[in-house]
Amino acid sequence: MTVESQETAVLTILERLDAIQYEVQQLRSVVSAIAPATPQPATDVWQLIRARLAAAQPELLTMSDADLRSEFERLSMQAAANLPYHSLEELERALRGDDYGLARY
Amino acid sequence: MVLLDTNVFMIDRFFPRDPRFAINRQLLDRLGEIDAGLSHFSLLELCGIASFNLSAIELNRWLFAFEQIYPIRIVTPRGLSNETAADAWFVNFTVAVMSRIARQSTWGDAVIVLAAEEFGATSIITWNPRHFVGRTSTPVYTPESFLKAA
Repeated sequence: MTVESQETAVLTILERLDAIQYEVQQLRSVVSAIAPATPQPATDVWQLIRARLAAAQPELLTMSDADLRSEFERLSMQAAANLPYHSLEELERALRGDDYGLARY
Repeated sequence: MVLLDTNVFMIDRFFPRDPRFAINRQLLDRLGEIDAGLSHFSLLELCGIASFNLSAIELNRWLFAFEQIYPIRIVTPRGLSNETAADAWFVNFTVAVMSRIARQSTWGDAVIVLAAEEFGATSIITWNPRHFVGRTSTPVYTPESFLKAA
């Protein structure tokens, strides 16, 4: 088995997991829709997304503000290290799929 | 509210040697006094850049902690609030996109991979195949290689 075929197999498994996760989410939505209505606290969509992130890593909810800040700084430094772009402009060109600046903007 | 573009945060997080870093930081230090917002999509764009050097778990933690650092509103598409079905859809969409971003994809590429996978596309055709290879099991072609293979 080649490395490429192993990578493809892993990606296929990941995609199946994503599909299963999506189905579970849909089923949960159906269950919550037929459950007796209870008053829900006002919230915004971003907080719903954060709640989902926390559901995957519950320890995030018990971390202090200082710990979260420290973790964010540490991960930001890790993300910035060895970034394959030397400048903001180079990065923005790459994000547009225009590595060589041919669009000239 | 003032809306901040993605590149303000790109400089602050990823380009500390940028000549605009200091003035950029001065603005960010004043966020507590300013009613400022960042588009939800801009935040996903930042996640795409952070994903190049973070694992899926680390990226999740980074995104969760973002608002601890920056006192801003994350602005989701207007009209979603208080519409449960639409809210749920959008949350699910965001989580699905994040799972593709975690494969070290940019926000834009992650949306394309998600669409290809959700619709069972037989291939992705692009002039930037390196943006997709190794990030999806969907075969990736350039227009040229697709025509040759067809």
